[in-house]
Amino acid sequence: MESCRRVGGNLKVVLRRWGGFTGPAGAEEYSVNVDSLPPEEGQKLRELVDAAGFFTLPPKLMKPAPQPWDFQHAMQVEDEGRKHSVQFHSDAAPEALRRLAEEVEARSSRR
Amino acid sequence: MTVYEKKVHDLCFIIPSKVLRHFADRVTGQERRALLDAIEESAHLRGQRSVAGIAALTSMQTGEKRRTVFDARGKKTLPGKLVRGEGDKAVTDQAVDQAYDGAGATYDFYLEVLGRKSIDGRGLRIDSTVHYDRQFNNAFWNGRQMVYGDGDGRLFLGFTGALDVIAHELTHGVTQYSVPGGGLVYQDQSGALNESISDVIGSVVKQRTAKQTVKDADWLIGAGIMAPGVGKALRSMRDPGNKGLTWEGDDQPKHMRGYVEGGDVHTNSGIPNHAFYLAANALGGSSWEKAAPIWYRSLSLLTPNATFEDAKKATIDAAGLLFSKEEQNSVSEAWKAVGV
Repeated sequence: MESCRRVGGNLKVVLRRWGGFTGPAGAEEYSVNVDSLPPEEGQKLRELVDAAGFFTLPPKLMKPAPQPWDFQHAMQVEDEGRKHSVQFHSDAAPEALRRLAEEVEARSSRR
Repeated sequence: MTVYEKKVHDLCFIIPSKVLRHFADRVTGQERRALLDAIEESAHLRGQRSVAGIAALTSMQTGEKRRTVFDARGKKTLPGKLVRGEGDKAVTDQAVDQAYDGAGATYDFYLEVLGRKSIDGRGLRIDSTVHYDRQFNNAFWNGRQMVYGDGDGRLFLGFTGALDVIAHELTHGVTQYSVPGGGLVYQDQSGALNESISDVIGSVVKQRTAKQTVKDADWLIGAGIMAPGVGKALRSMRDPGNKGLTWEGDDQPKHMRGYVEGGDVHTNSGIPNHAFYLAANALGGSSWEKAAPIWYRSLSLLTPNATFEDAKKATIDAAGLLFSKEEQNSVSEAWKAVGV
C-alpha cells in the first residue's frame, strides 16, 4: 500500500538547463508531475528522487573550474509539502541525480 | 607522435572521454594538448561507428583550412552525418552552408588579421554540427566542435544565420587554446571575460565581412536569430542592457555599478563588451585594425581565473606590445569608463 500511495503524492519536478551562446535567455525547462504519469513511470521517477537523496543534497554541486561546454542545471522537487532546489553541473552531480535529470527530460515536454 | 601522445592515443579507446577531460583539466602544455586531441579523436571515432560514408579520419590537425559540417538530424548524437567537407560544393541545406561559410570567414579572419592558424593555432580541423536536437534554442562549443540548434521558431530561429554566432562559438575554442592553463574558467569575472572575447571577435568578424568601420557597425550580437516580436538581437556592445536595441530580457550591465555578484557570465560580460566598444571607437577606423589585435594579444597574458582588472592590465600591456602609448591610453580610458 505504501508504494501505491507514494506513486503519486503530488511529486513534482522542474528542471531548467542553460548555457551556450544564449545563456539564460535560451534556457530549456522541463516539468513533470508524477500524477500525470502512468503508475510505473511515476514509481520510477520517485525511486530516482529517493536514490539521489534529493532532499539531502547541498544547494550547489558545481565544478571548480567549469568551461563553456558545462551547462548549468537547476532542479526543484516538491513532494508532500517539502520543497528543495539544487543547482549543478552534470560532471559534478552524482550519477543518480544525472539519471533523474535525464528521466525528467524524457518524461516531460520542453517549455 | 611523441611517446606520451602515443600512450594517450592508445588510452583513449579504453578510458571514457569524461575521464580524459578530467585529467586534461589538471595539466598544461603538451600533456593537455595530447589529452584534448585524444578526446577529440575518440569522440569522432565513436561518432563514426554509426555513420556510413565518412572517409578515414587521420589527423585533426591539417595545417590548412579544413571545414567539416555534420548533420545531427534532430538527434543529440555528435558529430552526426557528414554532409559537407572542405572544397565541396554548396548543398541544398541552408544551415549547412551557413555553418561552412561562417567557419570560413572566421578562419580567414584569424589567419589574415591575427596570423593564427585555426582554433588551436596549428590548423585544427573545424567541425560543425547543425540541426542538433529538436527545437534547440542554442549554439555551443563542446570543447572540440561547434554545435548549432534550429531554434523553436517561437523564441529563436536558426543559429547559423548570424555570422557573429559562429565566430563567437569558434572563439571559445581559441580562448581554450590561447589562455595559458587551459582557457578562462567559465564562472565569475573570468567566465564573463570568456563570453566577452567571444562576443568581441564575433562582432569584429561580422564587421570585417561587411567592411564596416566602428562607426558603421551595429554592435549587436545575435541580430536576426530571435523570432519576430521577441527581439532584434541578444546583446548590444554599444549599449548593454538597452532593451529597445535587443530584447525584453536583456539584463546586461555596462558599468561596474551594475555588476551582478555571482551573476551569470552572459550578464556580466556586458561590462568588458562595452569596454571593447569604447576602445574600438577611441582607436578609430575598423575594429580589426587595432582593437581586435590588442584584445586577442591579451589572451596569452591572462590566467584561467583572470578578473576584469587583469583584463584591463593585459589589454593595456598588449596595446604597448603592438602599438604605442597613445593606444595604451585609449584602452585604459575605455576600461576606466566602465568602472574598471
